[in-house]
Amino acid sequence: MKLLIVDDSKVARMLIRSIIAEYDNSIEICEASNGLEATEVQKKESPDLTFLDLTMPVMDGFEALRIIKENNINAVVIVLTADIQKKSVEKCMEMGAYKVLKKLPRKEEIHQILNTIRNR
Amino acid sequence: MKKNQREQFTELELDALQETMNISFGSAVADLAEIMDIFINLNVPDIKTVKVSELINSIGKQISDFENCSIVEQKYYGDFSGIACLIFPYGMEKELLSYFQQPEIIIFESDELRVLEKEALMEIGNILIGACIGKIFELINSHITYLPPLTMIGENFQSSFENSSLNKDEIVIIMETGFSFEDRKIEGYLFLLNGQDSVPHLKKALNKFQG
Repeated sequence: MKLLIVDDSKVARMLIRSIIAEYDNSIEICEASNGLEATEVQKKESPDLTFLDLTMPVMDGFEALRIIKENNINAVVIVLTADIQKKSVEKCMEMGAYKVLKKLPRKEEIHQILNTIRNR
Repeated sequence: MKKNQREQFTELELDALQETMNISFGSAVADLAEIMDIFINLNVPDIKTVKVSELINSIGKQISDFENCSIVEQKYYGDFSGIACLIFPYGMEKELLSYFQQPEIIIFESDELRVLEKEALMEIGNILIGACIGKIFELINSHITYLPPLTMIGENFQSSFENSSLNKDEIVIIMETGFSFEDRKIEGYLFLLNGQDSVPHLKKALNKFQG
């Protein structure tokens, strides 16, 4: 399994990495620190799952989500964000996000998602 | 670990503080958006450490488009103390009041209108400042007490800091973020100014992120 973590915060990426490693430390993880990088890595690496932040410099997560889904309609994107406004959540779901999770995520939430993706 | 910003924090600690501000302000905005049925665009937060004597210059750069300001200021105390300042351009309090008002109700009395505009500003300040700081203190496992907020309308923002209790030789940690209300072109900034005594407590934020 290959995952992509997109967040401008290094500590936020570290946190997700540690939760994933606890689930299975053989999972391959790629990182991107803004939306533009995310679209490039997504294209190059075709991850099974992407964790995507919304509030980022250069290109925000909404725009990155739009491009990622445009490039690959089947891309599985979990939006992981502090922007938990109802309209933001609705917008992400309408744009094709698989799920929207609130920061800081619970370990069990992430593990459950990894289970679902693995067993598809 | 590499240090910068006057040796107060490592880069990773600054990153953790920025993420703490991001999560806390995001949570506060979600509360406000739900109450007012609006959508608020969030900017990426920033963390700076500056000398108190450089504070006005630093904040002034952020709000250089605001000729005069409408400000909600609230002091907080706990394991460390600080000042929260929510700043809008002067005049926006009228727009803010319209969110609370039924359109068919027209108030002609200017004194009453000014009081209501001030109250609308204070209410929005209460929600954003209270929820944001409350979340920060929750994330760093610390307790907080607030003083009642003050509102200033049509003021120069410097007046808010000139009478503050901050010692001019001290370092102040600025946690700042900008935002805009999507439907009305209202933009604003929240600045949290924390004194030197906050450094060890804020460093706890990093541990939280590292689990």
